[in-house]
Amino acid sequence: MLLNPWAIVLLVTAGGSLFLVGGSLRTAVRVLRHWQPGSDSARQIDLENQTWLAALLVEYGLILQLVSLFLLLLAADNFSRVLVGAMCATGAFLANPYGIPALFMKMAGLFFSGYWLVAHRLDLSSEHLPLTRAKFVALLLLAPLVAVDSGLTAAYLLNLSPEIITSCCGVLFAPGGAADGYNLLEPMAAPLLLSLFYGLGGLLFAVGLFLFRRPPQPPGRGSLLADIAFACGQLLFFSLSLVVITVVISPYVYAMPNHRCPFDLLAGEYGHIGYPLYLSLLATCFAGSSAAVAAVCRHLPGLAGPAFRYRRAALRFSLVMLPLFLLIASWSPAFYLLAGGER
Amino acid sequence: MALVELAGVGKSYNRGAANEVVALRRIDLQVAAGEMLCIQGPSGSGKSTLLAIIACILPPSCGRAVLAGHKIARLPEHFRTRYRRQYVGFVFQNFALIDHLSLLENITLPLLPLGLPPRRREELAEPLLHRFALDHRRSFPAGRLSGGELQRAAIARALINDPPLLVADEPTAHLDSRLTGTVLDLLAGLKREGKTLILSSHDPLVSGHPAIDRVVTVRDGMIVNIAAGGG
Amino acid sequence: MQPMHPIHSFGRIQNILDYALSGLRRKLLKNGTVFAVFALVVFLFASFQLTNRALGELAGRILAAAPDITVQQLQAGRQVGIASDSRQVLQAIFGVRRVDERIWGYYFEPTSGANYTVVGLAASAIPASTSKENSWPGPEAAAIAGGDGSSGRVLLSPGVRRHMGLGERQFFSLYRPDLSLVTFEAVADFPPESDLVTADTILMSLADARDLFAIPAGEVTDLLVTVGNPREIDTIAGKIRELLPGVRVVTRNQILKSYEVVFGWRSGLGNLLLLTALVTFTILAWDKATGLSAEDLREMAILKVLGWQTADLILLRLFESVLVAGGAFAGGYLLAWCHLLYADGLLFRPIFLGWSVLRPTFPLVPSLAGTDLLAVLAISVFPYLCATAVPAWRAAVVPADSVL
Ligand SMILES: Nc1ncnc2c1ncn2[C@@H]1O[C@H](COP(=O)(O)OP(=O)(O)OP(=O)(O)O)[C@@H](O)[C@H]1O
Ligand SMILES: [Mg+2]
Repeated sequence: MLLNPWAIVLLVTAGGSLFLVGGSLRTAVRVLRHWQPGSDSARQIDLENQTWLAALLVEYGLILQLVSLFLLLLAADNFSRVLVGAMCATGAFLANPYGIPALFMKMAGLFFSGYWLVAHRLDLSSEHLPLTRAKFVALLLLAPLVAVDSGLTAAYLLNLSPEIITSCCGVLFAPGGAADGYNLLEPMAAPLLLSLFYGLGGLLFAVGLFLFRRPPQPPGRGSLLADIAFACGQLLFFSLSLVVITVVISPYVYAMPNHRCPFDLLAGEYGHIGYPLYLSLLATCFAGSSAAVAAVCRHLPGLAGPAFRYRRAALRFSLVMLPLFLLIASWSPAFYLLAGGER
Repeated sequence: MALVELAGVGKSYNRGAANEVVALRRIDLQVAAGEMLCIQGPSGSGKSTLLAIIACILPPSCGRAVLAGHKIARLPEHFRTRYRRQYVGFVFQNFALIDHLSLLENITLPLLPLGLPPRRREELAEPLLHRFALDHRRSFPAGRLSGGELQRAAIARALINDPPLLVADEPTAHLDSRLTGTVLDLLAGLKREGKTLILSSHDPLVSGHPAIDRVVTVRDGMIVNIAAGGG
Repeated sequence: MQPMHPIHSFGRIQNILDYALSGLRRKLLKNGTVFAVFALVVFLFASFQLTNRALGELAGRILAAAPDITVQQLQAGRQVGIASDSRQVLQAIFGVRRVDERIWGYYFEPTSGANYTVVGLAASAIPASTSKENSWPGPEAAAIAGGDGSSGRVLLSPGVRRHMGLGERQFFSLYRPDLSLVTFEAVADFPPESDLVTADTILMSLADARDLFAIPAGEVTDLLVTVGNPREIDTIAGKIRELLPGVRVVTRNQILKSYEVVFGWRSGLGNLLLLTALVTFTILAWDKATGLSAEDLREMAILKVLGWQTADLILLRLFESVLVAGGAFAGGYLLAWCHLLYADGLLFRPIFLGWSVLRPTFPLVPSLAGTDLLAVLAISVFPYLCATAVPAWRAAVVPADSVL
């Protein structure tokens, strides 16, 4: 399948990501070995210049990551037309064991490079560049992530073959289809999932509002823990939302009780509702959890002000996006239940 | 309070590399707001280097440097640039106008990254063009201006941000004695408006100008003499 | 002290973009060559992609009108007539909604040298028009029905009418194999929207087609099976193979997928070749971007002393790249579009030629798909931007004191 045009596009973007991260990795190693803040030695000046390059490359990488995530979804949709038995992208992703991990790896890369850039921005806002070392240590961690992501994507494409029969979302998530052991999400009942979903959403909104309203706290373990717990809550909410959208919400959008697919939501037949849905979810959870990055850094020299400002802005953004997301997510089911039928 | 304070400032180029050059050693200097200072010395003595450190273009290798209350000695470059934008107008030794841009475009270059719209930029440039008698040359490409016009344009560009400090590296090096006089009178006018001026020159005509408060002599990267000027 | 002018971030971007534009305009020759080569690469990619998609959509439309399962008799590996009686066997399979007979074939007319497709269907078998483009016209189709007998009434495509030189006339004749004449009455034309599918078609009743081709009674070309539940198609196809040995059973999905695979493979191969072109181009772009003139470097250093941040300068170089790449992308894509629309994909048709066996002539209609745009963008513009990132940075970190 490597000759499929979509496969080529994916491989080119994966290559691009590798190139970008590889380039910044070189800088990372040099910075970690020779960084001397405040010095004006020729090497230090060179290193300071190189940090700009690294940041530029990661910024490009972030954009590329976002686009390639998107491309992967589109490609899977396209593959599903070629693969026997696949009727939507779910089937295409399940055609071999690398599809789903590649997808999750891309998302992880997206979050990670996003946090990295937040740290970078904060670092630049202090005269002391207090985060530079930490930033480049983190870059050393980001690099394998991107490498694994590219590797998984390549493995997925390499092992994709039109002859292999795959299954589809209808089989996978269908209630009562547990007999063949394929039913992944059956054990969780819809009411339980929904109450968890709205409960956690409401809790996050309340806690976010509390953290947003609270005046600047003296650096201390208590307030830091609150921020970190909030970030973990956001990430949990992200995963939970993906499950709830797949299992509970998507059938309402399709108006078909047995069609449970997280990917078809992006299709034009359903008004591209997946885009605002997933983007608002991504925005909420990324902004909310990135506030913790700022909170962790705020005791560093020169960062108290910038970190507080960033955290406030991120929390505000998250608080705006969260209700928006819940609204979009609830729209189809609510309409269905209230109007008692299809749109 | 002094606008500029240097204490034990030294500077080596290419430090740590094989071609390391010591340009300044142990400079102590204070410049008060509203003062007009002339730095003189032979070629290669470190005048330009000293001005570049005051103007936040170069970081010093050692010592303490303060500009308008901000420590500028150990700053990352983007912070130095931020302070330079805010406090310093810099006039280059060789004018350094961009030849293919018009005079007006050259003068308003510092305003572009601040995000000022074209109309506002022109509004700010207008009084300067008028003051330096450059009105009629505004849309000339800089490459076709005469030496005197180039120097006046370079000064106008340094003033577009309305900085409290004007640093001019050999502002008269390329001018004849008549033009030197006009440019110095212009600078003296700025002093009267409350600006602080630091010039470098090896031209006695400059150090002898009545508006100069102090003359600092530099040799081999050290201050060897500070004398009262004509002002 | 507060800065005299706070930074307006939107205005900053606008100003830097303006500055980048004026810079590009000044170095027209250098940027022009990069632009032209880049546009050419995009053109090749996009033509390829658009041709591929247009063909795919064409296939999709034609196949949408295809029956769920087509059953044909094979003898010595060649297709021969199938006994009408097999209908009963098929009808009995659980899940089959309908079985229809069809007689079809090519009619060669020596005078105009044209090959018409004659399709004979029982009136009941003519599908009601489901959507405008993809199917047979429903209401007019009733006109040709003469019960199940011969009526002599046909539907034509405007193309066939033109070819025959019929003008406004209604009656025309065709030859039977024994050269005796049959007269037909053209009662209506296919609507122009269905031209893609019906361009060379004459639709008539089953009995008329049998008469025209002199096919013995009790035999038809193929049997068309309609299945109630699309998910059961494959199962039912399997049952048919068991019940009627020696027949060929083709499902619509099989046709579709085999086309997708073939298209995908061919266009992938083409893309690979184009990728080589892209790599060459990227090297060229890298070369151009790295070769900064001393004058450029001096300009960067002056701007730096005047208060431009490294980030501003990086943005400036980035905008230059984006403007070149974006412009070339738009230009190249537009060109590809015209190539397909006005030249019918002249350059790439041969690569997909295997396809034309299905239908000798067909116009290609480009369609604008966001996903295709993104794909071409990802494969052309992004590598270019990645390649110019390093030179952009190198220009932006020129030391400010180099101009003193
Ligand atoms: N970028 C540089 N790299 C290495 N050495 C430099 C650099 N710039 C200046 N120097 C050296 O530093 C010393 C001081 O130079 P500087 O330009 O400050 O002198 P100056 O007094 O301005 O001379 P002039 O009157 O000729 O302008 C000189 O020896 C010079 O060669
Ligand atoms: Mg000098």
